[in-house]
Amino acid sequence: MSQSILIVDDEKRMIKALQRMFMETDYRVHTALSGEEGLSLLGQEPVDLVMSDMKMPGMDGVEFLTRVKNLYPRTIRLMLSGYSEEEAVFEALDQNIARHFLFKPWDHQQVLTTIKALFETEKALDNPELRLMVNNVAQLPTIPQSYLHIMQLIRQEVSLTDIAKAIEQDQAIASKVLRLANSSYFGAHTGNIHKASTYLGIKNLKHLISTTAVLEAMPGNRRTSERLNRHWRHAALSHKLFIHLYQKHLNKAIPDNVIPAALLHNIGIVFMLHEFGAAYVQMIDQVEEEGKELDVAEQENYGTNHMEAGAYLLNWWNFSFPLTEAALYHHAPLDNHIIHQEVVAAVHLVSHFAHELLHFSHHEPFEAKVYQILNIDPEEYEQSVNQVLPGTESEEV
Amino acid sequence: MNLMVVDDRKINLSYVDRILKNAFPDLAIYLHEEPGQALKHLRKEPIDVLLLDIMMPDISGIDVLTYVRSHHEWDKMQVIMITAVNDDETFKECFELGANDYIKKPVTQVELVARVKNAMKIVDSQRKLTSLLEGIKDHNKELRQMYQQLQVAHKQLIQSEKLAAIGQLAAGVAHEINNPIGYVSSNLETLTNYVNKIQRFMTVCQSQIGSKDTESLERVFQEEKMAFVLEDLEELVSETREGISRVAEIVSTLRNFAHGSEDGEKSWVSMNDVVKQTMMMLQNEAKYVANVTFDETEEVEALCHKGQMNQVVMNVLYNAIQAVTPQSETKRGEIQIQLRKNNNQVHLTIEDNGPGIDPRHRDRLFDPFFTTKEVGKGTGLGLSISYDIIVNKHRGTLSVENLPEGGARFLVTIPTALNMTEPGLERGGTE
Repeated sequence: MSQSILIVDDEKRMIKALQRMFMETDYRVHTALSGEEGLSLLGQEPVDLVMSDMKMPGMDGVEFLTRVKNLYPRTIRLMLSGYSEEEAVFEALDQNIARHFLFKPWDHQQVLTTIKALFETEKALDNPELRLMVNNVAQLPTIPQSYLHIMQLIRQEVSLTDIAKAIEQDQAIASKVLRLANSSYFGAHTGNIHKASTYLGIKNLKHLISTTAVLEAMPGNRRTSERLNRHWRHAALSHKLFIHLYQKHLNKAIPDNVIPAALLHNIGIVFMLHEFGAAYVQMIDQVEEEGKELDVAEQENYGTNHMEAGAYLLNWWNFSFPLTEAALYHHAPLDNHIIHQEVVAAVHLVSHFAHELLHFSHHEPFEAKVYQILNIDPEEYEQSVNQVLPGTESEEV
Repeated sequence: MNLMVVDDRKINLSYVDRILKNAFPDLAIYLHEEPGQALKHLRKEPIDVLLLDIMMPDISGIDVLTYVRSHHEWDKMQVIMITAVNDDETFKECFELGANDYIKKPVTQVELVARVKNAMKIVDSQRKLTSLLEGIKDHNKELRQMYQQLQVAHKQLIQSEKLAAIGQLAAGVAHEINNPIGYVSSNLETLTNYVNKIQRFMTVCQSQIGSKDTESLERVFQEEKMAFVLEDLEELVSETREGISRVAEIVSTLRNFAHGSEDGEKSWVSMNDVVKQTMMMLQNEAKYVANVTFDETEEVEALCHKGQMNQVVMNVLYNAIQAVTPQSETKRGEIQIQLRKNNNQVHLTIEDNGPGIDPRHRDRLFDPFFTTKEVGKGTGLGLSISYDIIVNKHRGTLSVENLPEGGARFLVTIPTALNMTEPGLERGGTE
């Protein structure tokens, strides 16, 4: 059966125009003139994708999409926006209230391509085997409430002092935050939460908190700790290379919500270590010996792989969509369903070189075409990257 | 400082010279036996103190005095008459002619020195006074310039506050314009698609002219969804045109609003229009959070500055909208504007059902730069400039009170016309 779409906008002419756009497709299109009407329609029959205007009288777009997220988490959410709400749009994307957005005016082909890509990615995120595995797992690792609370404070743009105070109130969080803050890739040198917070600034603090939260959600044990360690060393170096790539070769600032892309791209491995413990460790050992690709073995054993698992988790934890894509597609950066091509290509590149620099074995093929996507010179990059020292990523995390 | 002595007797000249040189070593002293020569000298070089002997053959001291005092450029010169004459009449005449002092012959050293010293003091004081006066004149000029600059700055401040206000509206207006542009552009893309379909169908029709075969026609008709296209075509075009009109309307409202603020002239303005235009401008902001109603019973005209009135109404209305916005999720904002004419006064009230004015802020509400908004949002100038416009420039009143049922009511009153004798009605409208 073809996919269904719901369009919500308070202006009838806008709805008609959008409807016309889907004329040549197979999608079944429904419409609603308000958030309330949209919710009532969804109550009768859920849809696969919902497109909503941001500014509407009564229930606005953000509120509507948030409700949809809570009631129908598997419905893909898209925002329609005029230029006046950029900040609100960014916030919504950052919290995964919407996966993507459309600016007015729009180009038909571009929109249709994006929607198709979104549907495809959703399929990968939601394949039956993955769902089976997820359902079999006792409970999906959740980000502890204490972290969520702090992330909420950061979102509310409470002062740094108040955020530091909140962190200090929870010993467990405070010590972990300090440990990470003092590690090489953040580089604060202090035992004082407030000082560390000031040093890092709000943006970095946010990433640090979310990384710590993710760690907390999936602690290791004696048997997985070594593999976990290796994973985090690789993630840390990937992150370092990611920043280096943007600063030195792409010459642009990394959009805020994309910064942890390299850090979290293999979070699926952490999940599998957490869930399957020694058996998974064994499998990895075997894979390295036999020279197989990891995800092939995972597919055989579990019916799904660490990329899908990672993407699923990141999406479930409401990280923004580019991070989900980076997790899902980092071994297949040329997939034509990728919306944030540059980010995925970058993660593929740095992940590969992180393996190389750490002399970790890996058998996933390297796609040289990413150089083209990123528009950088391969030789120049290889030279430059070999000068980035792995440093002290060997810290226990 | 210099001094000239005119006496026909050389011995007197030397005598005076000796004494004065002794008493005032820095004084430049000129001696003349001949009044003619003395006057010649005077014309060449200004003299501060003049000692004149009255009794001289040919031209007497009195003649010289008369001559000197007829030349007003020498008015600052101190003239001391030296006289052996005793009678009051001569004295009276001297003083009337403008002499400043006299010394009786025989001239004693003490008296001479004293009187010359006095004269010198007077000259000095005069000089000081003159320079002081010049200083004050300059200072005055400076003050005037600064005042003018202040006036210019004031005008600029009003203008920039207005621009800031317009900037705030721009976001809302941009959205309003983007929406129609969005669907207009999308519809045109759709229209292109429709046209292509119709063309393809027409091509097939053309090729079938004369034939009895309707099968291919039917097929293409289905393939290209002709029924749908034909049905939708009219609506698509009309909706698109409506979109364009909407943009034109928004632009025109913006223009109307900005118009009339460049010149400083007052003119007869419909206050009803002022309110309606401002409401249109703020519609985009308001519609998501509040119902704005306008209660008018008659045309109310006033002699005022249209641009400034627009600014004031926009300011107060915008504040009302902002006041009801935070509560908008649970309580729809109600803003009521009422316009009336009472005798020769315009009464405009803007009421909202927001939280009302915090009593702690009441007194500072109209102060420049006072704002309860966070840093970066709002200039804090709106109400203070509105106050200035209404009270100072239009001799009206601007006040606010909290309503018993919650919310605030702003009241603006201005006279419909000022008396022609009132100051402030001059061109440029400056105070």
